[in-house]
Amino acid sequence: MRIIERILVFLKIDFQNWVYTLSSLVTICIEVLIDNIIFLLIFLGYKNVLSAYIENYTNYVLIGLLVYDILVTIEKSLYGALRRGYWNCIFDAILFAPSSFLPYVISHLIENLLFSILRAIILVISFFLLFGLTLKFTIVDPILAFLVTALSTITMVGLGLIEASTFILTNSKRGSPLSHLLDFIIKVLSGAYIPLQLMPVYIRLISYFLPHTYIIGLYRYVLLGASINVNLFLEILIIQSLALITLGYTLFKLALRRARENASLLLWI
Amino acid sequence: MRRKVIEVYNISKKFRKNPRLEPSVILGRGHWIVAIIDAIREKSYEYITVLDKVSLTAYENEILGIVGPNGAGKTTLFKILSGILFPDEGYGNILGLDLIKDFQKIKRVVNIIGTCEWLTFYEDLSVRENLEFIQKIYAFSGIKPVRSIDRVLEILNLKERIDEKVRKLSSGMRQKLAIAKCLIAYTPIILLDEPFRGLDILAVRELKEIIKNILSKENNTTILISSHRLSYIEDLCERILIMNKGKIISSINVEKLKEFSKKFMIVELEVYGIYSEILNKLKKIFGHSIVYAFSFKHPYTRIVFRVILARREYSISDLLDKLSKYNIRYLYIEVKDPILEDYFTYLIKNGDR
Repeated sequence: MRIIERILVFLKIDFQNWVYTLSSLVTICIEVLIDNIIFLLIFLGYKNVLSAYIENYTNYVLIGLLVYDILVTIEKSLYGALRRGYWNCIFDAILFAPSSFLPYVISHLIENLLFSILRAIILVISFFLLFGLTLKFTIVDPILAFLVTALSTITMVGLGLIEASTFILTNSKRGSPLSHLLDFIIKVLSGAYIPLQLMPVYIRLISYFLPHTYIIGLYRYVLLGASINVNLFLEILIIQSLALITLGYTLFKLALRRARENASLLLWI
Repeated sequence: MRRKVIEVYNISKKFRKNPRLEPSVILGRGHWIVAIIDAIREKSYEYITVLDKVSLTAYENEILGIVGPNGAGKTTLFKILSGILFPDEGYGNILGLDLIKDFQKIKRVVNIIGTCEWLTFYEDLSVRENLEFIQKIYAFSGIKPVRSIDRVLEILNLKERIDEKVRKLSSGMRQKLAIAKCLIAYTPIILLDEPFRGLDILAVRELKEIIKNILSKENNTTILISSHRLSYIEDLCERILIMNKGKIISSINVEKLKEFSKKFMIVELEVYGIYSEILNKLKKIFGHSIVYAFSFKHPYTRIVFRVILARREYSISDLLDKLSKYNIRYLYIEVKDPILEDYFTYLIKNGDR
């Protein structure tokens, strides 16, 4: 119970800081607007081709965007927590006490997930108002749905650990200006907007390396009954999740050891 | 005999000399590749020694000063003593707790106020909200509050600012607020890293009173206090350690200072001109004696120099002759007794020679 209490303290102080909350809300609105514009452009440009592959393109894209958004939230939360904790001197305030920084990281994840849910709601409303969305989701296989959720969480936590470890190991504390661009490229490549079959073969080769591709594909199968090779997707995702979580855990452990040796999570003390 | 609360022996710490360029700017999310390469190549980097076999002891309820120029290793030493950083070599204990094995427990007995501690406050939150947050952080660690927020702000003379956002406070007020961290919760040891930085004379005096009367006397705490200016802490501390280039080069007590005062005298003169030119001329005049700029006055062309001379080495008339020979225009010249600042400079300069 004490950890919940600690998480709530960090959540409270973050939401008390209305500048941060307001800027997050504005960012969400801009991101949703961009998603709507891209959807509209693709839909208008490839209407005929898309209708040959997909029965309900609006639902297809909505699932892709929602799943991708949640995946990225899980993936980036740890790095984001370290980055914010470092630059806002939160670590300077909490690391001097015998208190673990885990509650802070979890609070950051919860906060991001809350914003993700809000973003999802705004996205659904905008799709409903602008494109006449009709929600037609049925869970085809509940066990598979649970398995995919577990595997995708493990995979994203693995990726998140790798990314977070670079914060300390490569001193990449400023983040990357290319990060948003790369996010967008990965979003496109993983098939959030367009089915993989419509992409050129050489681009598809990159998509096959991305765990996001398999996760989005499997969720579309579970919720929309989209046609994919379920067994192949699942096998690849299992291999990727195991590899990423092992690599992530090892690197993050090394990073924490390095941080303790160099006090590199502290900015001013 | 007072109890020893801090005992460290031969503590050394090295840091990597040239930090790499941040590859994230180029590689974006792909910088994890560099992380792996970096981990493999770890041993090929050059290292710089920040602390070199430092040993020190602090006693119960003592105020121990640590003075040294920037980069002497004071902050690194404080980080090690507070359990934030591990030493590479050496051993020690804080109230019987091992520096490495018990680093988490050490945080329960040591409170550190960093150089720019006021930056750790949430600027968009009020003073009260920030202090409530700190109180909770301590409470999670099992450190119970000893004073209410109102009482702490009363001590710091900031009570009327309680509902004001931290961003609206002056830097001096924020620095004072940083001390609130020590007043809210009790720990037997407090490390104050450059607490007087950026404060005016009145604020320094006020803070000194708080350190002496509240933290030391009322709380019965052992305080280690670092500064790059000896004059800030000479009247606060019982003992002062001088650090330079990662080593403790001397421990000052009143007796040693008296000896120094017997051997040396100070010639202080205020001069108009360009710093480097005058310094060179003064060095020619005083030969092997130590000459240093004590203070610069507006607009930085009025400089107060102090020269550390062996007593009876020069007579005033000799000095005046030499100054006029080198065409040095001075506003005043005075022979004084040495202060701790001179002793500190003497030790540092002698170490450099």
